[in-house]
Amino acid sequence: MPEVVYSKSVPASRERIWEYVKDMDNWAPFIMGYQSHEQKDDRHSIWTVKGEMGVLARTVVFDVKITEWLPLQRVSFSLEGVTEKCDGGGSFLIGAKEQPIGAVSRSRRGGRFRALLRRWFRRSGREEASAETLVDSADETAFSFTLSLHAGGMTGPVVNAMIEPLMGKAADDLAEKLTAEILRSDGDAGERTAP
Amino acid sequence: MTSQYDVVIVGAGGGGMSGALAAASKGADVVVVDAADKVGGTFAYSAGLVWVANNHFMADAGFEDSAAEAIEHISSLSGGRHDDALLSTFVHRSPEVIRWLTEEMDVPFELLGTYPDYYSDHVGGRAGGRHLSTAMFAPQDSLPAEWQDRLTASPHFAGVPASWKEIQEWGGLASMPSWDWNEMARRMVADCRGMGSATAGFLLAACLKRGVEFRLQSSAQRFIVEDGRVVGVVVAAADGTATELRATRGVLLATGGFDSNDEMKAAIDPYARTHGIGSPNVDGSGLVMALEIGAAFNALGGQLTTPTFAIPGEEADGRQLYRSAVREPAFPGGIVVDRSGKRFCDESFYRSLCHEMESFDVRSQSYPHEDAWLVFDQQWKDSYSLGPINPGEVPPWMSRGATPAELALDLGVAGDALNRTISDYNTHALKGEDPEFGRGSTAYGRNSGDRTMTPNPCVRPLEGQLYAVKLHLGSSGSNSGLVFDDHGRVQHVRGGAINGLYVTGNAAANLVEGLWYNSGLSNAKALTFGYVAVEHMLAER
Repeated sequence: MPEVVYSKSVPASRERIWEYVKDMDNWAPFIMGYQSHEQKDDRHSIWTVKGEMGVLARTVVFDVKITEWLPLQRVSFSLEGVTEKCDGGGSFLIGAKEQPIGAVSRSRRGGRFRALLRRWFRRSGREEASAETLVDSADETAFSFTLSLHAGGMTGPVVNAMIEPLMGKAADDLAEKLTAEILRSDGDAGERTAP
Repeated sequence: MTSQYDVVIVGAGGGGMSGALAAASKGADVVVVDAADKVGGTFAYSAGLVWVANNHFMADAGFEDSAAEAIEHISSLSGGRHDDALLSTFVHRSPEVIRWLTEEMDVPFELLGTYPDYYSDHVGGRAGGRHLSTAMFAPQDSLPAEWQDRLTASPHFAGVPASWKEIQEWGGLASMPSWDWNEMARRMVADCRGMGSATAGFLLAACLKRGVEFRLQSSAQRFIVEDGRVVGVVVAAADGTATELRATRGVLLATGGFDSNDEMKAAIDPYARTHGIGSPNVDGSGLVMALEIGAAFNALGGQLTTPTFAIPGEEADGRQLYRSAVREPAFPGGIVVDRSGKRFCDESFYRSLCHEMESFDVRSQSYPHEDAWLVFDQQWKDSYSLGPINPGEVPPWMSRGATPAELALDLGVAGDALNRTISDYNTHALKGEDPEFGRGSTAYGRNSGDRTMTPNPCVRPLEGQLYAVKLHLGSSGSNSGLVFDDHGRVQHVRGGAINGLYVTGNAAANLVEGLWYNSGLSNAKALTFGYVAVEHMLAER
């Protein structure tokens, strides 16, 4: 199953990150290929995303349900394709203690090196997270997210092969934009409270 | 800025690269220019089939054939619109070109033994042996690093990295669940190419190996004519810089037809509402350049059409993708109806379907079958793929109905008529027959159907839940084009050849075949006349 795990430390407080990410309207447009989303209720939304898969671009509608909501700690969700036969899920976690197994910062490791590490740790049965330790400090908070997506049916193996690189790019892109926006909004907040 | 070559080729598709290989293999200095940033053109978008009668693979595989039979076959089916000299040249030279490409240029064509001619039952027709395609192509193994992302991938076959031979061996298009999808996933990760993109890849690799120069993102603007002879082309680079590419021996125009130019189609075609499904760069600009210097043009009637369907929100090249549905209408358990709720053709033969969809009725002054739907039942849905849509999968945009009347309401067609159409069809379909239009009555139709269905691979009653998708006419090439002679020389509108200017591929009118067609013919003509044209320009003094 194509899966992406992303972790990063941000020079912002846990509260600040939560304040930002708890409202999906804040970051939804940062998702690569985002077209629209419609909130049905506080646990259920419909997302429309346009994915570039090689020479094809496909608009896909997902039914997204929040399955876990722990303020300041984590949000987990499930994904179900409305227009395509694919499903998956993910989570957004704040704080070093909440880091998912296998988490490593994509932005800090090159593709080949990371792939090498992955292969090695998979073979040795150890977890990739040991390659890097994310820590919370007075100045920084770690956050991470995971996303898995699985296309089923006869063509599933080929579709999964097509979407896997797409998910990596999307994760990198979202993390960079999220970080920049959290920092920017943090700066704005700071300015507003300045005497 | 001016650069000098022996041969200048405009268009980096199959015909252009065949010509480039002919030039380079004879020691000529050759450049290929293309407006696109990738190589492959219409050929790379295509399924990659190549139709060559009496090819060198046939005898080894036990197929009998002859040039005389192929000529009789085509000339009797062309509607009197073919040119004898061009037909003879094509039939006699195409086997030679394919053999040369395979044995000397490392373009590994292989025989699709069981693939029948469209009109295999007609005089000179064959039930197999005339269709060829290439094996899989791996850019990472065969192209220099800087060229690996310069090979056009077809959006139509992006999710099917397989060769035609494999597909035939895996049971054909009606047996997709039995294909090796895990192997194809592995190939997807490795960017392996099948079908037309594969052949274009082999041609590109051969060209690069022999020193052919490519100038991509270079748009041809006009021919340079001196003393009545075409001596070069002015091209504009992406930044607008103009360069004169001068050719001492000749210029080969291989820019394709005008299938992606709606304005030209509206001006030339009898039915103009076709959707371009090939390269978006095939916009008729090469034809305009030739017309500017007096080239003769033959309007042979519209586009090379294909039934297609659209998945809402699916795009390629910045426009809605219309996916080919050549085979799906032939699968048993389905029919095609128009707005009146009635059938109108043998759906197992896509040419018949396309012809009727674009036909104009002067009694009603309308295109009565233009709005057409492929209607199929639950067993069809559970058994077959529709493009990338898996068996059993029902996307929300797909029309459906528990009864013919319910489906008709969704489609906006006459409910009573649809009910009657299905009822009448089913009466005979129980016996595997279709007396009204003859589904599955040709070898080609049966090959397109479900070979596990007996007695007729294309016929079974429609039962239970029904589904439907709207069909559209896609265009993969133009029938109309420049008039040329048996050396590939473009003819002047007042007669005689335009010295120095040659043409191949869809930029040329369909004068080899007139109103006949067979899958793989366009590709075969492009490869053949690319070679023949360059051979002539290098031999001429």
